[in-house]
Amino acid sequence: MHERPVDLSSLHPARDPVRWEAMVANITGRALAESAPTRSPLAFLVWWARPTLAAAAAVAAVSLGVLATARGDASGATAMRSVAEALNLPAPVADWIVEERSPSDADLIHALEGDIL
Amino acid sequence: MSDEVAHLLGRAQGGDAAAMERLVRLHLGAAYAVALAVTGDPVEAEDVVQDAMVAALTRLGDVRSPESFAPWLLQIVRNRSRNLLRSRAVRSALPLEHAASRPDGSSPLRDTERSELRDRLRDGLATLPEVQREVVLLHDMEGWKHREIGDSLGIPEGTVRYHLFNARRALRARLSALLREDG
Repeated sequence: MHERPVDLSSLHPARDPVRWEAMVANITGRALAESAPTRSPLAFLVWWARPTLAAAAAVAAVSLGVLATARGDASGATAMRSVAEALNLPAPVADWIVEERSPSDADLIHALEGDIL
Repeated sequence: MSDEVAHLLGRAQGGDAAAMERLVRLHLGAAYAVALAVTGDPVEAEDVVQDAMVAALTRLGDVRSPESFAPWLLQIVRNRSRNLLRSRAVRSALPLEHAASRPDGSSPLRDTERSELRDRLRDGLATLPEVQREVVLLHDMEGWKHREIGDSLGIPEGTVRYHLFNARRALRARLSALLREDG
């Protein structure tokens, strides 16, 4: 059972190299674009919320520090430490409050970058 | 080729563009052969094979093994080509005012590309059953082995040989008849 092959090369898409390359590029490009990872809405919210929360914590710390300075008594420091701990503020922020000092620019930048949260 | 495909699949799943492109180059001819066998139209075959390969490349995680990649890809091409035929049948059943602007299926591109030999081959292929078209295109146009074609179609190697023999004989007879009609 043998029959000679039929020459079908004229039907092959590679007979036109320009169209062949265009097809390869189109398929590859579209497949890459469609399989690229996308950022989910939840991931976007987390990404957005992190510096925002850091900024809110820094503002709270500054406010508490000002309050503690205004009261100026020994029990104030203890009370501020309790408040800071109740707010679950990071240790460096609580220290600013108890030491009754305003955070430096470097401290704020550090907090805004979220490194201490 | 299986080792290369295994290596390429791993890289392509990680988003490696070069690996993806190599996979396309290795399989585009066979995928086109299947699309042409089902649709019978080179322009539609080009469209459907591109859509099918994009769909396949975005689902590489579904491939069970490197050996199953080609049969899996060609089945996607086959299914999409058949869906196209079904939608073409629905379109052709629409009233004339809703029909495509080129009811004979021609296109400027196709018109310019048309050659006598290609037309005769296409006419000859159109007389064959779909499975014979696919077998003869994969073997005589794309150079696939009987075993590879059998794996792709899910049929024994002996059946592939049988289809190939009948397809070649019918195609040659049809081409001879066309030549006689012209002469």
